[in-house]
Amino acid sequence: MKPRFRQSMNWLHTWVGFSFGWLLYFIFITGTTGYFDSEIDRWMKPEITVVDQVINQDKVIAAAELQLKKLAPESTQWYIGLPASRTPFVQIQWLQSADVEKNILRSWHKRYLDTQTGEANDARKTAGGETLYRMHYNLHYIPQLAGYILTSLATMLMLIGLVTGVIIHKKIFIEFFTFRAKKGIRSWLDIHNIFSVLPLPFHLMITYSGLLLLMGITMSSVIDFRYGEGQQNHRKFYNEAKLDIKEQQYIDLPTESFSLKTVLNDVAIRYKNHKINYIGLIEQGSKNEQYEIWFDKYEGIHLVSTVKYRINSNKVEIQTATEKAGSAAQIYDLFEHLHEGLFANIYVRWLYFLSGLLGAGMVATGIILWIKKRQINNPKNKQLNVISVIEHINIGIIIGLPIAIASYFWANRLLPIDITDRANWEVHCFFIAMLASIIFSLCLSTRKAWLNLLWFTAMIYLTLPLVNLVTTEHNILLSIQKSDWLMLGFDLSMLFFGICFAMAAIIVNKTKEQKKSTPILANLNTKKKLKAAVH
Amino acid sequence: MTFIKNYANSINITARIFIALIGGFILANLVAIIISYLPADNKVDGIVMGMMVSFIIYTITVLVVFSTKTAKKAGISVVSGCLIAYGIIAYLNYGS
Repeated sequence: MKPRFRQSMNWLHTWVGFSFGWLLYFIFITGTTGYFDSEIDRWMKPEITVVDQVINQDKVIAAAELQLKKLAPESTQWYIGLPASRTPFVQIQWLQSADVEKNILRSWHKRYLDTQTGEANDARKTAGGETLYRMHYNLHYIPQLAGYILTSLATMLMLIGLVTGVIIHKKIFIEFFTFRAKKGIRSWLDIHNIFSVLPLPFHLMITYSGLLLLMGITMSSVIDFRYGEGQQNHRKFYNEAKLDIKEQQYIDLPTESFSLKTVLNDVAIRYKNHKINYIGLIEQGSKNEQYEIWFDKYEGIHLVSTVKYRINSNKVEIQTATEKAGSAAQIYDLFEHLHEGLFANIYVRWLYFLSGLLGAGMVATGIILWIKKRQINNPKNKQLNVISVIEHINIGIIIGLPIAIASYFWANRLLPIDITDRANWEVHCFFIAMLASIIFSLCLSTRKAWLNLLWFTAMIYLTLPLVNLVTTEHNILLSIQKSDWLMLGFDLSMLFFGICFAMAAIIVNKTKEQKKSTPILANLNTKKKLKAAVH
Repeated sequence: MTFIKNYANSINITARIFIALIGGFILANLVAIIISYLPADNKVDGIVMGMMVSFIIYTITVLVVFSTKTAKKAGISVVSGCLIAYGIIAYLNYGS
């Protein structure tokens, strides 16, 4: 390729990063929002009543059961969710089995229980936090399989980019602490290094585990070869691969009195220190009657202790699953849990969020570097300059994505409640906003595009709590009063992001002015020096 | 021949991209299948292990393809790698 190994790797790093850069930026940002999916979901469903005092568990479960009986008498699977730190409300879910005659599809339904009145309320139709984070691997508009393959390809290139990035840096440790401000391309390179090197373990983990999560699709030929082709064989493989080590024991509980109440009594004695998160009631009243108890407890990064109660040959049996049977499957589990970060408490969750943003920053600064380097090499003299078009689109995407996310939240509050396809329209608003910001950026000079878009983003984030105040009964003061911490946290975070964007706008405004007074790229000598420095 | 000379660089890079993307994918899959035979008693675990390692193989292959002197050399090394891997698989399949 190039005469020296490191030079070839530099070339590879540049092009691998640039080719899928925009998609990677999208994946990083939308994926990062996934670390707060429950919190976003709660904000997007303002109708939920939060439980702000200690509840009488038996009473709540009885009320939930009553509602389930009323709403879904024929369903075989009921779930009752009790308040937990990330979901401080009572929710009931049931499975609607498919009915061909009545043209009903198999689907899950969800309602939220008001613990004061015992009523089950429905929240507004919203795409919620789940759709937002799912975008980072299904890309929403394209077919699912194509989305998986595209994101996997982008992730693969990201992994190659990371490895080559490590190879081409001689002084990786020193670059931790190096930042030369106001030196044009040199400063961009320094920022790129800081964003990449500091959270490098996170980047490597998230990239590799991302590949693993979709490996059943991208590397399915291995399963085809060893297990046989077709859906049935694949399912057989997955069933075996997902096998947990199970521990069973019989307990002293008369089978005649086997019911939710006796099960809960047993749980209260047997698992005194555990807090129940979910209760599953499966096939109640039939031979296969079964109860699942999910605890809100993580040991290390694994969700531990799901207990199943069922009747087995005239005795009540309890079953707990510990870990995966295979050693490779255990490693896979480790990576999956690390990627999803479900175990994380609020501090680690913010660290995840920050690392994700740094990843997005790494990709964004990488693309900016690519553009700046090419602008030095080919000065702007042609009429139609491809590099400058890319530069404008790039600005439109980098700032456009935060705008899109804010629009998604705005749409949730402003779209009419009873509009058909409401959830889909929220997502449409997301992409329309991004497209609009790209077009807007193409119409302006780069400086104006940066400034205007940054100010606009700051404005829409700062006004989000206001929108919340006007369109719902929630506001910052009331949230404090009701100790509705998720709602409060969301509003405050939006204010914080708004301030960050405003500060970015002020910084951009200042740096450009200084540049005018001392134009760094003006004389040819500095240009040559810079070229040498970059290579 | 002047066409090839004029566009030597582009052809070189295009060839490498194809070798890296497609050749690398095939090689990664083949090596994954070989690894899946390693744990003799647990086929499923072997497959999971193979698929997990395949991404590392892919990365290394791409690095090799873009670091060799000529595209031809890169092509030869990937193709011969695939052939060797295929041979091993054929042998393993025959043995079992």
